[in-house]
Amino acid sequence: MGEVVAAIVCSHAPGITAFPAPEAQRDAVWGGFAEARAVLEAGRPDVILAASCEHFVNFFVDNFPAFCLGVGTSHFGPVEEHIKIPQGDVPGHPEFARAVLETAFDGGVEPAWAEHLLLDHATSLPLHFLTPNRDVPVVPLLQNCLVPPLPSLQRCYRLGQLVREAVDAWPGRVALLGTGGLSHSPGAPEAGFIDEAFDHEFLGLLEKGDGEAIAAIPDERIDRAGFGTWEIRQWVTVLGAVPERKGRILAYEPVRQWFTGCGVAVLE
Amino acid sequence: MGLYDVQRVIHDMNVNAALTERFREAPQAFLADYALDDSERAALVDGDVAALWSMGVHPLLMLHYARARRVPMPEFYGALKPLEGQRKMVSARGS
Repeated sequence: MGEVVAAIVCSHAPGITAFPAPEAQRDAVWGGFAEARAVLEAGRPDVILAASCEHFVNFFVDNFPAFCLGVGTSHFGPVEEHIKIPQGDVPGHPEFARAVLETAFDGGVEPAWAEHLLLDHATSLPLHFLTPNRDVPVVPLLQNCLVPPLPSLQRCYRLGQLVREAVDAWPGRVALLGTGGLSHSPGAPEAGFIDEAFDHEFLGLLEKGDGEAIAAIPDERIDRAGFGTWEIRQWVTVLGAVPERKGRILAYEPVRQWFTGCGVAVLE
Repeated sequence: MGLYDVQRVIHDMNVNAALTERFREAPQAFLADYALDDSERAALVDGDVAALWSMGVHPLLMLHYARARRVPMPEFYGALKPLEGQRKMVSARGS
């Protein structure tokens, strides 16, 4: 029935829009996003399932879900006023969100859900590049990449499989988006470190489409690349949904001014 | 007092612009509403990011705090640089 019409994975460092960077690097990253947008538009999706995260906007340590699906009719973002992205509402898709939720429950994963979610740069920055007119409904799937214990990569892969089951059973065209990473440690004394070796090895596995190998990367290795690298979980969720595809890297730049190894890729 | 209360202050400001304004205009009065000890209060008032990092504040909350307290990024990272390696952010179990 349903179809995954596009699968895009990307970084979301706020510096991408908010901080200056060497022109060649910025152009490469922005160019990667432009190509990803073309892939998305060619797919004519009815909805985007955006596997993403957030940074103490909706959730604090008094109540922290491993996964939270946005079932609301719209979502406002970005909450940040300083990242040069216009703030506004993006339409939601309660019906598709409910289908994903029920399929997940039946498959043994119970995400939390919320009728009202705020979006921060993690979701709004990629959407700013991919759907600047905010004309495609979005179902956000926020994953805890912030405060351990985190859902394991294997668990995120499993959730991706369940998302695919929901897509297959639903009569529509679905684009998948996974955002976060790659190597970074924002706000920490180690923020100047970008583990390019990790990023290149990771992207190599992505090109092979080896999602299972990626989901088996030891947590200790990811920790060494910086806590911001915990966000590769969203790439893993998308990989779980499209295991038959291989990655095409549209851009990778380790941008010192953005404190992040920035990647953009599509799975085809 | 304790890490929860310090992080609570920062999170509350991050999600409520009016509280950020109260902090900026009259920090002592604003912080009196929270159960903080003197060193925690001083760190938040003084923009002492090194002290906050040593207390264990999450790095993303550190950035939210810097924005609320208007600590410029070069000053922020300059103050933290000597503390490199002091804390490890760990997701691996059994570490």
